[in-house]
Amino acid sequence: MKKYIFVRFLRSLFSIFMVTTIAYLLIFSLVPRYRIFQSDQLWAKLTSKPDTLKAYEFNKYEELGYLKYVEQQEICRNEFGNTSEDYFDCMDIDSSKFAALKTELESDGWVFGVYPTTNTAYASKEISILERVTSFYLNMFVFDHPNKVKDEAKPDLERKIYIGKDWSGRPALLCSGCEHKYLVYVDGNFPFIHQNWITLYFGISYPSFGGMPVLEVMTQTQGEAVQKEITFPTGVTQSSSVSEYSCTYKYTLDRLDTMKYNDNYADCATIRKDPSMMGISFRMGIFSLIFSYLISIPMGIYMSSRKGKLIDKIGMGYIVFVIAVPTLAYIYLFRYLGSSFLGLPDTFPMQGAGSFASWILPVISLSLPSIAGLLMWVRRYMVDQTTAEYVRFARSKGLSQSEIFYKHILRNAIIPIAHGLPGSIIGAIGGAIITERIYAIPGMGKMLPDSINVFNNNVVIALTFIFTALSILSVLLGDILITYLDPRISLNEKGGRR
Amino acid sequence: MEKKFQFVEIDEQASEHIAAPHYSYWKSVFRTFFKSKLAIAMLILATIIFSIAMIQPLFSNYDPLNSPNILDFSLRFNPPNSQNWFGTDNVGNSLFDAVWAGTRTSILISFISTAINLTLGIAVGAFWGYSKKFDKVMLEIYNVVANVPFLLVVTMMLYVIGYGFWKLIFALTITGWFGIAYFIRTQVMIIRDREYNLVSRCLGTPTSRMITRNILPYLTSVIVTLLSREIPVIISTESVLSFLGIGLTAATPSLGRMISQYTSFINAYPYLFWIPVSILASVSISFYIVGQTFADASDPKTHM
Repeated sequence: MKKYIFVRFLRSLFSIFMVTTIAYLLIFSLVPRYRIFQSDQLWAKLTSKPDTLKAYEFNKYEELGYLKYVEQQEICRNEFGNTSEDYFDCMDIDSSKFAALKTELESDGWVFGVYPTTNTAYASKEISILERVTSFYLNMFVFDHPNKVKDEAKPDLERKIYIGKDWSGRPALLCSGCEHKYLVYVDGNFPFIHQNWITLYFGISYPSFGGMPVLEVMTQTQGEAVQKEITFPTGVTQSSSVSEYSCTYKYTLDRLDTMKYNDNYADCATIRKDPSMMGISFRMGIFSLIFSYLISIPMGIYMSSRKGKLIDKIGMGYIVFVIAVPTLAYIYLFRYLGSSFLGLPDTFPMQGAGSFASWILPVISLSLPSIAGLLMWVRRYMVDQTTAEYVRFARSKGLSQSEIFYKHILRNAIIPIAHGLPGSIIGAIGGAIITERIYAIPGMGKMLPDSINVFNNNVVIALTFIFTALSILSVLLGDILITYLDPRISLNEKGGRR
Repeated sequence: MEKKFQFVEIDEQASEHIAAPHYSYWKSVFRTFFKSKLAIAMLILATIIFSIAMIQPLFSNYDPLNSPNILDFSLRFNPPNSQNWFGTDNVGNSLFDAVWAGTRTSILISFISTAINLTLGIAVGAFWGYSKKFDKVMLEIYNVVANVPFLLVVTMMLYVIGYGFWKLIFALTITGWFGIAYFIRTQVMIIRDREYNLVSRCLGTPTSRMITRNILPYLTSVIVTLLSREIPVIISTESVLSFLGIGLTAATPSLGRMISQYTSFINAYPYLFWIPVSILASVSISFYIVGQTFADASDPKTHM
């Protein structure tokens, strides 16, 4: 069994890897590259200055990993140094020195171009797509270690990992010389123990959320900054919204930093009022999962016990409704009903994440399809079970109807309920893309179409990775769960797979 | 008394004749189908919607990029009246024209995609269920494809290949047939080893004939069920994608984009929003119910 789970886990990892790689290859080879500038306002402003525009474009391409890019100045400086006679010779585009360097680089695959106004040259070299995929995976997991920071200004920087205390006196695993100051820390938020040791890196986000790492875009808190009285390590007390655990190494400190911090770990994120995109989406998904099970299990059981009666017909009508009516139509219908008859906010930002009311309609909308799916499963299973022989035997023993229901049938019915779990999670991910857009919820689901519309490739890849990983791992989890719930089911039996 | 009866010769052929009631499969299917009043009503609704959606846009020449009445302010936001049956929108276009042009797109996309998905799905699925070697390979691929949300796959495909009518159909069909193929595979596996198929194989029937003559006719009602489910799924996905601004270009009229555009008028001019939504819903529901009833009717068990 353990071996089977291990193999299944490896296969799931392989599936995630395949899907992400295919998406990566397709996106970076087929989506026209220049499109990324379409919604960059800085780029649009530069169109009157052809030189700066060209340099800007190439710098962005280099930053996003499409190519390597150098200017003539850089080529010459690398060869001859900054001040020599040869350097100035080389800076002339028609000189023999530059021509020699040019042919050398060209044979190495570099492509040369000339800036129209300044008449200086630049060179670029494409990075092959396979190289890019490899570096994407190599850079994906970032391990922090005490030799991470390379600061020339501080050669005697201490390099150690130690147990210390955070500002409010709670124990934490700290590090000097790492990128992050806090490697492991405890706080009041779920899941209570956090780490910065291993972080994921999906490249930078461009053109929306310009320059920020993709994962930071998704995990940083949103909305207004939360101001709090904080006593800094130097003893200064100030109203501030810094999150101490996010502090990373800052190479050049300003006066304000030295006033507040003892060390170079002064690059800290701001705590804001609302949860991060990821936080909102996960919360939404979990609430809707709980909600759909809470509704569909009792409802399915009730329907099966009143088979063919009015309540059963209403339930079946609902299932047909969800299958037949387009998602867009029924989400809007429920939103309309909820907002005009119950007075609930019809968009999320109206009352924000802090208000309970703004979560109600989105969670219901997200649950509607999975309720239908689960209802169908539970009802059918319960109906099948009521005619099973062990139930007839129990009845002939003289057990009451409710005893048979709760002690015999329900225990067996747990299995299909657990089996529906991965399906609900996959459904919730797809549903989140629609629901978050309709309710204007600042979550990951809304992020996908938003990023596609501005050609933010790195965010699209990251979201594909996250969504695929969630779906595939939830299927794995569902399968493992049913083997624990029902010992009769064996997954590693030959040919016995679903 | 004796005159009332006559002697007849013994008819050898008459004794060989087996008296069975006349049974025609398709006649019974239609008889069962037309027993349901709801199905007839929905069939009429589906026919009306289908004909208007196919014919009306040919005369209206509606073009979402072209607003001829944009300067005439009196034509904006007219509620439904005798001139403009569904009213006019924020740039003075007739909503009637816009809705039917969008419905036409939805119906065409869903019909074409469903046709492709079903054909591919049934062809591959029948072979998949029949061949054990093929099954091993396909299961591995299926386990990857099925676990990725469909909307995510379609969105990614569209992002990569670009937007447009045929590109949308391509994106909807590139993995869409997999689910159908898997379903058909399971069905085929169930009846593959039944005795009549065993006998047939012993007698040397080739695989292709086994699939087309022995197995697929058995699956008629299952296939019709799939068909009636697939159409609403595609209509829903298309409208969602257009709503998100992914999928169709601005030149193709679409109910999804219309709904997304008119969302801002939901309180001020509710007709502008609810008419496209209800047309979208009625297209989908009518096709689904007709399909489901037909699927039930095509199951020989209901012919008693």
